[in-house]
Amino acid sequence: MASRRRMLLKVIILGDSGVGKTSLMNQYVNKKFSNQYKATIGADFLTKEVQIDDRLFTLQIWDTAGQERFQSLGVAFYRGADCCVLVYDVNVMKSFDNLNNWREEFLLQASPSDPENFPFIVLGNKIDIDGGNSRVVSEKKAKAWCASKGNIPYFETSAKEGLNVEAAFQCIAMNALKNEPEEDIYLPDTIDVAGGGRQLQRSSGCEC
Amino acid sequence: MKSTTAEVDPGSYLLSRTVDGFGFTKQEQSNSTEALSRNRPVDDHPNDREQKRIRKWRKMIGVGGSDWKHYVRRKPHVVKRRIRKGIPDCLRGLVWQLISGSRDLLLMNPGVYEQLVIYETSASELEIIRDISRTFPSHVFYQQRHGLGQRSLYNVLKAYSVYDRDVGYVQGMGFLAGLLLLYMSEEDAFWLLVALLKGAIHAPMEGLYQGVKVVFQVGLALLRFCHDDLIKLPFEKLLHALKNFPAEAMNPDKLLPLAFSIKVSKRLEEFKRDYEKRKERPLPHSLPSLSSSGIPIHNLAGLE
Repeated sequence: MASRRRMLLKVIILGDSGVGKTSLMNQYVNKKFSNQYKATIGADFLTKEVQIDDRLFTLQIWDTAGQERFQSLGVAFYRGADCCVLVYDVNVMKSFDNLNNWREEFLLQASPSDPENFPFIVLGNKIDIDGGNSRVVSEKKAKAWCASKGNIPYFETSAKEGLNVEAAFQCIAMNALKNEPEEDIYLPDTIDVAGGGRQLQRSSGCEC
Repeated sequence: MKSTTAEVDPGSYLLSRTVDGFGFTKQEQSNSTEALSRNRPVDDHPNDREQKRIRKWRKMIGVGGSDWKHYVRRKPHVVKRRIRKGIPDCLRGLVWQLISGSRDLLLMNPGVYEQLVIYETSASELEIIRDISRTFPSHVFYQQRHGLGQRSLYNVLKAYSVYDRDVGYVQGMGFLAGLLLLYMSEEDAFWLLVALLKGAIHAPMEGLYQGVKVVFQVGLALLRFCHDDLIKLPFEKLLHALKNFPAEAMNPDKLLPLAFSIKVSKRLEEFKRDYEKRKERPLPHSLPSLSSSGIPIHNLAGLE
């Protein structure tokens, strides 16, 4: 019954407000870019089917609000994450400087079992702007930071042009999968709400 | 990989656009707000029943709101019933100000709004600017860059962030202020925003304030309405379904009577007290800088 269950991989996207988190997610899932995205309030999500080594997975991507205020909602969203994507805007220094805060805040709130080896990915977004002339964070600087945090994989992307987005999310999915222990299946099936409360009985240990 | 992009061309998109009765550009990719507004009756040509309703309301309000307070004190249940049936769209701007007490705030604070907009500086100015073009981007009033809509929205949000420096600017305020500005002037919208966000302090809503109870009632009504479909779905599809309720479920004439029929248990109050108590103790996982905010959305999160 459970052998062909599709595994769910949960991915969280973090980063300052306006760096392009929503755009990256939509470019990856829907292959679309719009100038008309609303500011994300709280959090949002999309799912996408991915295939890795002949197996199908559902990538559940959580897009979060960038304003620091909303960080207190983090616990609820970060729980059970398999990979965390940190996004900054290569044209805004502050968004790069804040990567460290985002990383630490994630580790604090998600409290993964092995924080040292929890998979992060860093994306430097908006490389298309002004033909790269308004860029203030160099690739070298970004890579150095990633190296100092346990060799975090790094991609330079343009959600607008679709540059490197697919490759980045491939890497994200692979790393999320590495983090997911084989036998641990996270919320895989429909919970039978109508069918006489079997779930409840099990949790109270009375199924004998 | 670059080949996947150039599908969306803003220019051609603008040419083919149409606008609904509330001023939102109709798009294929809709969201709940727009889906909702599309289903509302357009008030340009109200029918006879609607006209009768407007007359009743005008009588209840009086000229410029002069009879309102008297009426609410005498017949609060009638007012409540009529509000629940729906305030006529053309009177909403005025009625919201009367219900919330923001009209009184405005009268008690002459010149304050102007002072806040023109002479004060806000630490949140850049944050606000970044979100202006991302607030109701599909509404005609807010589409033009640096147009009247965007400028008004900026002014109101900046004024609020100065007026209430402890809270400043919080993402999401823009959608609230943006909606108000479709119905009233900048200054009126500002004081209504104050009344809504600090209502308990300034203007106790004359006993009409329903608070978080209604939020739960509407939420529960939506779930109940879609119950049969929802329980059939696997988890991933469930997430999608909860974000995209069918138009039928969003019809206020169906949804709201159902919502008001739902009794929200007293436990909600208990949860609230519990949460307040927990908030006094430092939470194990929260940072000190984040624990002092008084934004209602955090209260909701604590009720999970």
